[in-house]
Amino acid sequence: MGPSSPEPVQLPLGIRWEDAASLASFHPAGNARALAAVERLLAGEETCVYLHGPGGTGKSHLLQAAARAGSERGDPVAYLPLSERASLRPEILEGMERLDLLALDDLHCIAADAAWEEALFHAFNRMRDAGTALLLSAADRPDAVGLVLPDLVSRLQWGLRERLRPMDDDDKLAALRHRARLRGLELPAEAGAYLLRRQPRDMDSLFRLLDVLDRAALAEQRRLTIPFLRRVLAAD
Amino acid sequence: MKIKLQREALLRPLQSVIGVVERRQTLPVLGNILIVADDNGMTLTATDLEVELVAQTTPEITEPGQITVPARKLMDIVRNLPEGAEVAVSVDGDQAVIRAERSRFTLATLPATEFPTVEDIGETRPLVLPQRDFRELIEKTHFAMALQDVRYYLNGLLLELEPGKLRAVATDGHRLALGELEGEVTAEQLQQVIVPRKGVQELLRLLDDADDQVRVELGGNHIRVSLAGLRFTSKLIDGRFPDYQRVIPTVDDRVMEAEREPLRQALVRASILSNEKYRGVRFNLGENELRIQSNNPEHEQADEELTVTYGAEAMEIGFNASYLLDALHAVDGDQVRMGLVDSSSSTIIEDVNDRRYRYVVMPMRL
Amino acid sequence: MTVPEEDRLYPWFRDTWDALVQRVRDDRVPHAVLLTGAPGLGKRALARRLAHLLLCEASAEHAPCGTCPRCGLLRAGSHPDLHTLMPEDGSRAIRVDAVRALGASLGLKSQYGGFRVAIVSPAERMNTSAANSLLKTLEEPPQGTVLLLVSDQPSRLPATIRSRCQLVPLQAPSREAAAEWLEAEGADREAVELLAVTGNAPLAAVRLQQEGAGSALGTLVDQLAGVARGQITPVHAASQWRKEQATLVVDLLMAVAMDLARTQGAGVKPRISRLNQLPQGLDWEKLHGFLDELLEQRRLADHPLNTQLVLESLFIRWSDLCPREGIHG
Repeated sequence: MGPSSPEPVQLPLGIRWEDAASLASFHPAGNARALAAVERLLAGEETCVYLHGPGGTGKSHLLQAAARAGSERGDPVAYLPLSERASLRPEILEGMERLDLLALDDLHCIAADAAWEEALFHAFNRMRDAGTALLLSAADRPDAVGLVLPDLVSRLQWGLRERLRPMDDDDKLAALRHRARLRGLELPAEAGAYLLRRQPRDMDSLFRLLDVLDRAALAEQRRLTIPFLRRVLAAD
Repeated sequence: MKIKLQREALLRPLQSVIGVVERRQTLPVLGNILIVADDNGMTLTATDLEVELVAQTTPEITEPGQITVPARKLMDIVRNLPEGAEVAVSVDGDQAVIRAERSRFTLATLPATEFPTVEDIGETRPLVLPQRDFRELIEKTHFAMALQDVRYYLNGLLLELEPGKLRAVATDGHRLALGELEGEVTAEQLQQVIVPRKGVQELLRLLDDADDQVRVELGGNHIRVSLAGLRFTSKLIDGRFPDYQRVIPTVDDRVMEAEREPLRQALVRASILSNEKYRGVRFNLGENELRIQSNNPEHEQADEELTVTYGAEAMEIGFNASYLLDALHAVDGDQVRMGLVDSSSSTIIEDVNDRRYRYVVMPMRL
Repeated sequence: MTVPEEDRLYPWFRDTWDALVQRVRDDRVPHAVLLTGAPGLGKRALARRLAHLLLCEASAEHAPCGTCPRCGLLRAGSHPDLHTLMPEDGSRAIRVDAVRALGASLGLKSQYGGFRVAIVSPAERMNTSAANSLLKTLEEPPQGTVLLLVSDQPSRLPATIRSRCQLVPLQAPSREAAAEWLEAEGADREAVELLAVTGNAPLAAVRLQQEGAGSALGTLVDQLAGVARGQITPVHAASQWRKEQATLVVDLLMAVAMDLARTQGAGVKPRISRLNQLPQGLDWEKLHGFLDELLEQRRLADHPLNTQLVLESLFIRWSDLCPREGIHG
């Protein structure tokens, strides 16, 4: 503790409000139809919903939220991120038909992998017979993500398809502030706009940033003002 | 309205409700006290629209009725009447007349219909517990409430009811206080309410270290506490308390036990030379030894050594001394236990022999 | 006749009221409403009426019942779930402390289990920090809260506030309807004449008359005619008014100038009947400059200025825009 020691920093408790992916925390912006489709799937009014669109549009959020909503009401559900393909094997799809809902994220990641496509095709058929609700996401339409098994492509085209649109800056701002509020934080519009101007624009990074800001605000018992953000971001 | 009673029978209830009458209120009627005389006796009600207090007394009622009169004036008059005097209160037109011995006062009134009262707080499952226990529960937790935090639900005390338990939790984001009362709590499911700071402070003022029972009711919008002759009602904070369970660490290896009083005194002394703003003190734990050090921007230093029980590996951790002192102050027993994880994780402080009250403090990076 | 501070339904608001009631019945009450319109229409009475309707126990009716205990509290101004934010005595601004206190009150649950309502009037009187603070409440209104903002200068509200409110623009009645209402309320011809100054806002006419505007308007038109003909100097005209009348004079000058602009531009009869005493052929461009100056003065009316100097400069500008040949010894 020499004379040059920096100012002490009080660390914050990890108290936190639940802001994980839920249907309520999904800011629909231009994607209300996709949200509605997922809600119908959960209500049993659809059996297969296929969401596609570029990254950062909220596909994973909707899939996780659906799985969560299902498990909260006690249904057997699963969420499989196929982007984790390296640690997954196609056999994992066996027995999925016993679930009420399967959410398969990032379908394009297994495109052109014959074993996976084959396994998915059969799983699809079994789930269809068993009445398991299937929620899929991919970067593009079924016939445009590079799948090689024609039967699988045609199966995937049976379901309801919704395209998610990227959010413009206003939507992002609204989504960010919505998420902040769910954590009990008030992110003023001008401060949110400041973040959007200076930080990576993809929602995942922005939400992670919110985490940092939340902790900093709690530690210093401060509001999220622009000067405060500037300081935290400079230190980060 | 026409009633008659002893000075003391009027003064006592007046004194117990006058605290919520704000000195500077925007609405004249809130500076008044509501007097209701009917078959059930007489009640005096005061409110600041957030907290309502109703006191009961039993006068001789010749004519029932209800009226509001200026609270402080009535209080000053009654207080200055001779002891034991018989006081008669009656309403004449839009004035109230107070008579006692050879004194006579006329006070301006406002109609009772202008006075906002909390009527029904909805269906509740009343909880009956000793006044002393309830007081202790609040007293030993309320200090950790936030003060004017933007997350306004931190500016209150969480009361949580679950089968067999009543719990109180307060946190300002740096530290947390948790208290539990076990008893005959007939809750069917978890029920949580957040009592605003003002209501908490008023409750502390009202509750005594006494054996008699209080009745606690948690409604959808209000908390109501009934004591002998007095009923307290406060609005609740409209918000959701964060999930506090996850910040309470479970520690079994880095456990330090110390005598409370010597530890407290060492902390008080060390904090004298800590940075006034941050009050940071540094703990160095070694085998059965604790060193507490502090310094300030003027390069002054304090160094304290204590014998404690500690057998785990040596560690160093910084704290805001005030938070530790608040916790140590709330603990009753002679021996305290601190459960530590590492220099950037929360620490738990509790009485070695009483785990009903637990305090969680986040460290400081010094 | 006084301007009442209550919740009566003025006939010119009937359609708007019916629409608001329908929203309440359909359970589609907006979280925030901005009532706008000229001063002296009774906007605040309408806001209060809506608040009373929302908080009355018998609220299924078309109007607050006025007799239930809640209505008793509302009349007394002591209903715990109705918060009113106005500039404090002796201040023209609604301050941030008051808005924060409102936020804290709305952060508590309702007393009677129903709506929590706040009226902010005049909303444009919130200073910047007060408006920012209110924005937080507007952006995330607690469930069951309704904010009613009242403003006759909504353009002075931050766009962020306006955009979060359901806008309810209120119109003045026709001149005939306004005159009829004033007469039914027992007002005299002078008040009816003042409708020309208030843009047919009936309550504003009543208020102006109470402030002595009826005779003041006559005096002012005489002065303007005198200055135009060079019979009196601008300095003399200005000296005839007392300091506390300055705002009134500026308002009246404004009404006169607007009426002149209207008659010259559209060739219609003036609304203020005696304006035909004023010279014809005013300098059109200067008249508009004069109007701008008046608007500026009215904007500055909140600030203490040397009122005598202000009035003098206004009369001087008036004499400038009068035709030269009209001015002779």
